[in-house]
Amino acid sequence: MSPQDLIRTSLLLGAFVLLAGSYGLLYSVGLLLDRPALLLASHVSFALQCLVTSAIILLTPLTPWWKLLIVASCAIYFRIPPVTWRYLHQIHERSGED
Amino acid sequence: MYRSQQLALKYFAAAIVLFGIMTVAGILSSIYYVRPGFLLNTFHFSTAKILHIDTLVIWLLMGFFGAVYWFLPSELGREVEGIALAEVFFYIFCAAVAVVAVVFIFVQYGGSSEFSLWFINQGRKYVEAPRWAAIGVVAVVAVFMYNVIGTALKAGKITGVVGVLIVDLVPLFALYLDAFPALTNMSQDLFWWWWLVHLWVEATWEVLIACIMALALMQLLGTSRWVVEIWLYVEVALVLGTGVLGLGHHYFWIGTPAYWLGIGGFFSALEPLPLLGMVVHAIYDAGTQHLKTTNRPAFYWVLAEAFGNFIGAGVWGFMMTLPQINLFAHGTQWTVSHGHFAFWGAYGCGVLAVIYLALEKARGLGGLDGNAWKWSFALLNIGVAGMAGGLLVSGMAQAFYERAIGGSTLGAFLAAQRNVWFMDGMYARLLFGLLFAAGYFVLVYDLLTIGERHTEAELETRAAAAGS
Amino acid sequence: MYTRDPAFWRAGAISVCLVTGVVLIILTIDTLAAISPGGSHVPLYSVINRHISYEYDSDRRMYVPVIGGEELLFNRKYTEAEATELVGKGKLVIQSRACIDCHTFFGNGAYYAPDLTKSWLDPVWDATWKPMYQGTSREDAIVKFLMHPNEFPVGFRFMPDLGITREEGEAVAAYLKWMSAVDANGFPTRFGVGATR
Repeated sequence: MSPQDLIRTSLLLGAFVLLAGSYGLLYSVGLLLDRPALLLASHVSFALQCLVTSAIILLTPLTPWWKLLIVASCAIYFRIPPVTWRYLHQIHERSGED
Repeated sequence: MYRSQQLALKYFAAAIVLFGIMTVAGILSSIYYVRPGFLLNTFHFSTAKILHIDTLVIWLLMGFFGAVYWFLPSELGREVEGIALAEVFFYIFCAAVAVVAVVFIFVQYGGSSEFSLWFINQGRKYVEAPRWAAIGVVAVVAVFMYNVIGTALKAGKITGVVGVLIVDLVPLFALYLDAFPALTNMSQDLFWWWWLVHLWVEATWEVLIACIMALALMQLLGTSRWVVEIWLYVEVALVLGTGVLGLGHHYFWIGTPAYWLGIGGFFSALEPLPLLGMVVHAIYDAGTQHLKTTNRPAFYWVLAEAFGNFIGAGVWGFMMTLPQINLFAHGTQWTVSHGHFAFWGAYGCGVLAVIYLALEKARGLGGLDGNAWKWSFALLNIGVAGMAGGLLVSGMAQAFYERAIGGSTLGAFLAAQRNVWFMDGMYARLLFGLLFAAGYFVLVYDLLTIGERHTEAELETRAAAAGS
Repeated sequence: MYTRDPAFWRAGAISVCLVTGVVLIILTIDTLAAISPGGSHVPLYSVINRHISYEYDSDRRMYVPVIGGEELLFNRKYTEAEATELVGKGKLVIQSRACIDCHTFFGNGAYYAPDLTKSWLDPVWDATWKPMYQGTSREDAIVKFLMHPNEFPVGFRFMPDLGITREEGEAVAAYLKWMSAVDANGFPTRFGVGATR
């Protein structure tokens, strides 16, 4: 890969995970404080993550298998916050804490 | 207070002292980059660096020991088995560390002989301590294992958390045995060395800090044992599921077969996923307790752990882990950037949280707050983030100019080292390192005095705690 | 719900560890064979008697070491046993001086000094330091440099004098030559081919 591709690809990969993190953060805080605006913001963050995923597919010289891994990861990142939150809620409820 | 908890406080004190030496050695190391010829033939960069990275390992290890010695008696309902032996070995441990450091500083190196490996410097990264000291570490860890397992047996119970801890200690101990061999073949040397380093910091240490956090959360937030145990098992499954074969991300370029590029890259790319789950978990816990916890510094350091781990290990790691990128990023300041951020986020913050928890109980208080901890929290975290940012710029410049363009010769190396982006990053690193050092001094002041300062708020807290 | 049973997750954690652990052990056994001297990726130590270069392999799409005809080191043809001893001595020097705490080997170590994986092939030896130190050969220049590293600095990053003897320097030169012949999956890429020489 060219030197420019190197920097562009690594920054896109970093943005990919960072946006997953901000999606998770905004989603969780949104549920916690019951703020629809934050939940919306979390989905905007995830939409940006999908945009970055598209950029990785279209603009980087990674081979198809790696691009597939990124796409699959994107889908899994989407599910992690709601699944984790729901699961935590269920086990805390079950233990009689809530 | 149990004797084990008194020992814990001693381990925490020693850990904080080593944290300070690590910081000073770090500042020193960074000066070599901005002043050519600094202390040439007087005090080598390598010596400063060895002091920096070895105290990193030992301060965290002492922090972990302290945490376990603190929580174990209340977890199992009795004094720790073999506590007298542990107390003696604490002093042996400290003395050995001191002797090793003095030899590193004043003798620095020996001739190419077995004597040097046994008594001066083994010259393998993180495990430079001479063999006699490595034997000492083995002994200390063995006593620690005896303390944990013996107490569980004598108490007649092994809780879920203690069970995971005991199982984790076995590989932790066994892996350290790679601190001894001196293999001619560098590929083989590094192959086994990475079993020790990766399977410590990206596997067994992660399980160890997870156990410690589990014990801490039960105390900090009153979370039920059942919940904490489920989460611990989930975490162990996900972290080891990605981390054991994620070891392969160190096997791209050391002379191993090319299948490691695919295997290591794949599992390594999955490593940030569990970390996102931990961030969500941290927010959930913060929320369910409505931030009512009375030990504010401990609580915020736990949050810092979750976020720091995600960003430092997850985001920073993901940027450089795919082999197509790593070919250029490998062995540059980019790695240094990731290393500083990840170690801090994954372990440093967690140990500090536990220390604050212990101090609250040790000083007989019903809570902890104040202003100083906020200053040290800000300075330390901004310091690390700034250092990682500066190093990322330097590292990317180095990957770009030295590796991608320059072909990695000495000429390419030197061209990158004097590149303006590289140098700017190095100055930024030093500046933020000084901020971090300032944060350290405030931290020490706070740890020594928090709860002892008679502010209105603290007097009220004490009265409330005494009354309840 | 079984997902709310700790025993389910405990079983999951144990299974995951066992499966990934077993895979790691199997791959380790295969890898150890490949990285032993004489294996698919690591040459015998007697490679120090041969010419070594680094060329692009279009099938594997990476740079690979190429082991050529005879090119003696210090005008001497080493037997396998002698080469093993010499290279072994080199590693002992490298460890006793903690070279890995300034330099990197296969990119591992400290980043204050250059990576040494392909240092044997670095143009600086023949083009710069051999004439400056009046070395009789590349390896002789390497030894003279190691013995007196500050005599002809070429930049602003200086190597300290570590009291390396002639005998130790020769062992390190042999080590560097052997190491440059290891197939590291193309790391560092384009060595010596880049814009900066």
